[in-house]
Amino acid sequence: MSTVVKDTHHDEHPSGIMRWLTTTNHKDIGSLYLWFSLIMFFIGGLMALVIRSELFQPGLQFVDPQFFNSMTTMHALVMIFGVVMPAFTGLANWMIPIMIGGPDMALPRMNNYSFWIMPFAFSMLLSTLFMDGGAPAGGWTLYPPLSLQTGDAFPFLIFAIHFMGLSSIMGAINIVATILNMRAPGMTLMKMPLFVWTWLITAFLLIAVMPVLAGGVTMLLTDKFFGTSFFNAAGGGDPVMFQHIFWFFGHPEVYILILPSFGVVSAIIPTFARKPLFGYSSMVYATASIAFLSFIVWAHHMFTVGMPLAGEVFFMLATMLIAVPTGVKVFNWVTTMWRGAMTFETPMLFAIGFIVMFTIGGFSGLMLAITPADFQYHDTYFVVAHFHYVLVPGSVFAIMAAVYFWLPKWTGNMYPETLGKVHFWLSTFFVNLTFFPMHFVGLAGMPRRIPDYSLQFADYNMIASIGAFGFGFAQLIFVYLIFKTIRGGEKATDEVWEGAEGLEWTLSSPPPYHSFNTPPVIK
Amino acid sequence: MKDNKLNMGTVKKLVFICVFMFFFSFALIPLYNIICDVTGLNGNTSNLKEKANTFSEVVSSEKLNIQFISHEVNKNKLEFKPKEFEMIISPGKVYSTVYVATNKSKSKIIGQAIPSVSPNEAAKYLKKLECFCFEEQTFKPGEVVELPLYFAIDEKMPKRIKTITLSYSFFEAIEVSKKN
Repeated sequence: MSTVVKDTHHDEHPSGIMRWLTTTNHKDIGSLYLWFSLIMFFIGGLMALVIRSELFQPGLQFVDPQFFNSMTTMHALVMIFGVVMPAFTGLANWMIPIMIGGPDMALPRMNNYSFWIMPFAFSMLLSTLFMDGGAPAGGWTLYPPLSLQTGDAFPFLIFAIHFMGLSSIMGAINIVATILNMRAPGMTLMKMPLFVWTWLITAFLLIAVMPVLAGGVTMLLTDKFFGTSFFNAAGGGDPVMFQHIFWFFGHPEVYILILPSFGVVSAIIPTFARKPLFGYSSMVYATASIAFLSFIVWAHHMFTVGMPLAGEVFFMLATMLIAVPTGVKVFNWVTTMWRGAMTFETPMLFAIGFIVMFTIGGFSGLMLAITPADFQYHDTYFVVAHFHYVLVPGSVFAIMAAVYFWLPKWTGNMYPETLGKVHFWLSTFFVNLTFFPMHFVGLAGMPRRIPDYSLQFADYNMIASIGAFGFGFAQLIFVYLIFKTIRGGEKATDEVWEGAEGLEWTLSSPPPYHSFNTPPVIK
Repeated sequence: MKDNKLNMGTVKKLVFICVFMFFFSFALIPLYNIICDVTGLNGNTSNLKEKANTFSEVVSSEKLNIQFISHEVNKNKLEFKPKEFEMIISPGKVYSTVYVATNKSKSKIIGQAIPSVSPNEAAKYLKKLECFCFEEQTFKPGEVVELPLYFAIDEKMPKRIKTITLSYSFFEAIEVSKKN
C-alpha cells in the first residue's frame, strides 16, 4: 500500500503552465526544446520564403534591399541558434538519460534555466525586426565594420547572442556531466550508443567555442559603444581580426550542428538494416578527429582576405583532411546496410536521404576547400548551395529522422506511416529543387545576399523559389503528423521497431515520467 | 549525495574551460599581432621601424616600381594625397617623397595615418627611415601640409617582386573617442 502511495506521489507534477515553467524533468525539458525548435523552424522558414519570393524574378518586387538583407541575416541566426541547436539539445535531453540508464540529467535545475533563457533570447532577437534602423542586416557572421552600422538593434543582437551562448553552454555542461557521471553501472564509455558519444564530443566543442563567440561579439559591442578599437583600423585594430575570431568559433560550430546527426543516423541505420553498426569504435574515433580538426581549419572561410600562401596551403590541406574521418563514417553506414534485411520506414528513409544528400554537401565542401578555386566560389550561391545541403537534408533531415524514430516511444502511439513517407518524398524532391540549381547559378557567378540579379540567372532562381515554397508547405504535413500522433493512433509496443537495440526500448511506450530510478542491468 | 559531489567537480572543470576560452578570445588579438609582427604578414610594418638602419646598403642595379596611394575616410574634411603616385627605384638606396594633406574643414583635425604594404611579402623589406605615420598629426583649419616620407627597399627582397604598393589611410583620432 505504502509503495503505491509513494509511486503516485513521485509522478506528480504541477499542472498547466506551471508544470512547464518549473519542470526539472529531462523528458519535459526535452519536449520544450523540441517544440521551441519547431516554432522557430517556421519563423525562420517564413524568412526564407520572403527571400525566395524576392528572388523569384530579377528586379526588386516585394521588399527593399535593407529588409532583404535583414531577412538573410535573421534567417541564419534563427535557423542555426533557434532550430538546429535547440532541436539537438532537446533530443539529448530526452534520449541521453534513458540511453545510458540514468534517472535524469545531472543538473536538473540548471536544465530548466538553460531552456527558459532561449525564449527570452529569441524575443530579444526577433524584436529587432520592429526597431528603428531595422533588424541586423550585415549577415549572421557580423563582420565589422558593416555590422557596426546596425541601428538600435545592435545591442539587442549582441545580448541575444550572449544569452543563446549562455543557454548552449549550460546545456552542454549538463550533458557532459550527465554522460560522465550518470551512466548505469556497467555502461562503459565504449558501450554507449553513438548518439551519446557524438553529443559528448559536441558538448565539448560547445564549451570550447561558444565563449569565443561571446568574446568576439563583446569586442564588437565595446568597439561600437565604448570607443575601443579591437576591429577599428583608426585605432590600430584590424577588421580581419574579427573574421579570425568569428571563424575560430564558426568552424567548430558547423560541426556542433552536424555531429549529433551522425549519432542519430548511427542509431537508425542498424535498426532498419537489422545488423549491428559496422565499425563502432572507428565511428567514435572519427567523430573525435573531426572535432579536433575543426579547430585548425577556420581560415578556409576567409581565403580571399589576403592570407600568405603558406597559410592558404595549410588551411586547404587541413580542410581536405576532414574528408577522411567523414568518409570513414559514410563508409561505415553504407557497410552497415550492406546485406542487411532492410526495411524502409520513414526514419530509415530520412536517414538514407541524409547519407546521400549530406555527402553531396560534403563534396561541394571539398570543392570550396581548394584555395585557388575558392576565389571563384567565395560569397556566391555555390556556398549557399553547399551549406544548405549539409544543413537541410543534413542536420534537419537527421532531426526529422530522430523525431519519426523516437516519436512512438515518446507518445506511445505510432505515427501514420504513409503520411510520413509522403512527407519524406515531398521534402526530398523540393529540397533538391531548391538547392541544386543554386550550385549552377553560384558557379556562374551569382553573389549571395543580394536582392537582385542578372537576367541569365532568372530560370534557376525561379525553380529554386518554387522548390522553397514546396518544401515549406510540405513541412505542414510534419506538424499535422506530430499532433495526430500525440492525440492517438495505433499503440506502439515497447520495442517499437523490430531491430531496435538500446536501453530506451526496454522502457514502456510512453516511458514513465521518472525512469531508471534503479539502474538497469547492463549486459 | 555522492553524485552531487561528482557533478560539481565536473561542472567546475567545465566552467573553468568556458572562462578560459572567453579570455582566450581576447588573447587572440595580441597573439595574432605578435605572429604578424614576427613574420611581417598582413602588411604589418609597425615593428620594423626600429630596425630601419640595419638594412644592407648595397645598391642593387635592379629597378622596381613603388606606388603610393591614400584612403581618405572623410573627403570633405581632409584631403590626403601623395604628391607622386609612382616612382622607379633601386633597392638599397634611400628615397624621399611627400604626401599632401589639406584641412578643408573649419576645425582642427588630429589623427594618424596607418600604413599598409602590398604584397604582404614586401612589408618586411620596406624600411621607413622617417614617416609621418610614426606619430599623430595636427592640422589647423585651412592648413596645407606636406608630410615627408623617407624610405628604402632592402636589396635582400626577392627579385620576383616588381611592384610595391604603399597605402596610407588617415584616421581622425578625435572621431574615435566621440564616435557615438
